[in-house]
Amino acid sequence: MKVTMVWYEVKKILVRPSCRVVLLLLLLLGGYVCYQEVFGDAGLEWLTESGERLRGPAAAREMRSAQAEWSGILDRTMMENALELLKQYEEEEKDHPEDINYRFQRIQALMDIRDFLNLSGKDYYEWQPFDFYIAETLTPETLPDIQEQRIKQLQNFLYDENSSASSYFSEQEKTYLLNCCADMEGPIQVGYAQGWSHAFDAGYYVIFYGSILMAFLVSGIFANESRWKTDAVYFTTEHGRKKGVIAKLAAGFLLTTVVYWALMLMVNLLILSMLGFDGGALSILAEPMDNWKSIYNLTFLQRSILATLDGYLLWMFFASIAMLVSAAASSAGLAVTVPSLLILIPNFLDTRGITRESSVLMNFFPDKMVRAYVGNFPYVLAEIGGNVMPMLYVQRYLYAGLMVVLALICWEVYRHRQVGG
Amino acid sequence: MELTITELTKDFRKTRAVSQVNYTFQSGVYGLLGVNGAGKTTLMRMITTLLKPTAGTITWDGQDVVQMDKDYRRILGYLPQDFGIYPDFTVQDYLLYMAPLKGIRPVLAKARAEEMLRMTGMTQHRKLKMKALSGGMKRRAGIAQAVINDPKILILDEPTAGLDPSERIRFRNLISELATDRVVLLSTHIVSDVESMAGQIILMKNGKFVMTGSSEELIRNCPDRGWLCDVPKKQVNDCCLKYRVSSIKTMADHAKLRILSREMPMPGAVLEETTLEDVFLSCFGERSGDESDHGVV
Repeated sequence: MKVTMVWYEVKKILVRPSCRVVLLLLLLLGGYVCYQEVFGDAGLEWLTESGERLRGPAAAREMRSAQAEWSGILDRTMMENALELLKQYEEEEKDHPEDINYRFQRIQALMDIRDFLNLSGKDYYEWQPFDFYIAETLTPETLPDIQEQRIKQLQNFLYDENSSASSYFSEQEKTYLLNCCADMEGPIQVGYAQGWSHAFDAGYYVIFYGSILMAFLVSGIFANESRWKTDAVYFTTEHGRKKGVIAKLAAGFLLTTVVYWALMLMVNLLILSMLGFDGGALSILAEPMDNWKSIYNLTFLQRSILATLDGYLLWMFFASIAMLVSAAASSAGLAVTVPSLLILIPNFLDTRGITRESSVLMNFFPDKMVRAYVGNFPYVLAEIGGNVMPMLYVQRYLYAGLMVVLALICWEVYRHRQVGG
Repeated sequence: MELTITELTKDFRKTRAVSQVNYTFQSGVYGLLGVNGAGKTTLMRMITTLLKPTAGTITWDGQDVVQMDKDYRRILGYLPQDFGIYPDFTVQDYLLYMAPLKGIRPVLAKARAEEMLRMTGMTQHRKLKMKALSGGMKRRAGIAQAVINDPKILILDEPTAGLDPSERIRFRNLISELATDRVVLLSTHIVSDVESMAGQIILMKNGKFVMTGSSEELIRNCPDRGWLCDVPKKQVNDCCLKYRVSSIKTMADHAKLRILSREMPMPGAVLEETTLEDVFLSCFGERSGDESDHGVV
């Protein structure tokens, strides 16, 4: 394979006006999710004493400053101090009935600690409903040991006979989940990590919806040869049935790689530069509302890196599907449809009640890989050779392997194509 | 330098497009003449490895072309009937894209592309997008890609179809220039094109080679002769039904008919020189796939 061949295959894609539109849409998607995560409904918000709602970098500045004194190891002293303030503001709120935001405005910097208290202040591992007011009912004497409470809740969830999990998980799976929970290293640390948190959320949307747009870009690599009737000349060239096909595949994967990393880098850097790089070394548990049930013992930075790598694998997998369909069916439309269905169908099936509990197959769909780090996502485990592991680990090998296999099939199918048969 | 096809056959479901064809091509220009559906394109697609034969073999200097694989395609140049283009590529991009595909080393690609642009008179249009090219310019770009690798075998499927007369002449001259030291096989149903370019002519009908030879040989071996006859206007229709008429020129009170016939068709008929068109007409009848021996052309 020659670099020139790959370059011209890439150029062939990029010179098409429709592909430029798709690139623009990807850029807009990146811009839109950035806006949403910074300034939009999903964005960071801070309520000032004067009642003004700040968003974006201004809100980040206020929150970072307010959380500074509530950063560090979440020990008993910090919890007692937080509890004292929470109770104080609960009392003061009664004297300010005209100000509906009185209490909220004052406890904004304490929200994560309050969430810890809410989550650990109960014994049962409930999914719903969530009691937002447990924290204020606690006393210094009844303050829980957070880590101990987390393990206890999980034990209840796994072994209580009234819990659906008791019969769903095997003994080995239960042991694995409890070990994951118990393995958390060191004491819990809290602090400002909004930049990483929002960048992660934005990345999810880029990976999910961007993969469909990406399929558009690579869908024509093979199919357009027959659409433009250029295949007759192409296949009579010296390298048209070998190196040329490899060059096409390489162009598809190269374009996917460059677009993916450029887009993810842009989105992450934009959000982090506006909301701050602080907190990358904090455990994701520092954001308890989202990660209380997480089995992944990761820092925000580690989660971002792994999720981005998983997303990349997913895009490459979709690119290989799109190229295979493009080569086999000579249809760019179908080449876009197949990966799109693959990522959208599980959501549709979920709404129809076909969930992981009712069909094991649902656990293998690629959307599960994108959502793996979303803390409230139910535990999806796999057991291979007696070893229990998150399904995510299996999916990594599965999709990497499938990507290679699909690319090989694509190469084999296309190089044996007859023209005019 | 010998391209040999042996018992070459291609079936499409119930249709036999090419039927047990045998022939040996050596250096020179070969014109494949036949009506639409005669099997010309299928034959060419087999020779270019685009289609697998149902039976038979194609060899180049004794080696099976399937076994030769890319070594065979290295010496191949092909301009298909429906020559497709990459619409958003410029002509130069197109040639620079084709060059490495045809095994031309990067250091030589640019010079070779320049040479092809010059040869086809496309230098000034090099920056034009291919979708903006006229039919003639597209064909010239097509021939440029076909010969960029200096092929030993050049296959041109209907290269002059759809071109205006001046473009056709230009194209014919270009092909004649390229004919040295290689096998050139061109298909057409335009008799004058093949007559002016091909040293050897192959008449193909219903998937078979029915006549082969030089233009002179084909004319000599043609069983029919051309007769010029003066016929009263009211008898024109009868003549058309009775004889194979190649042309009708209507005059004030009568018509001049050129009739193809082995014998003098009527008293007063004047024998004219037989042309390749007469051979074509004698061989193929009035239209594509028509087995009838009579009628108006």
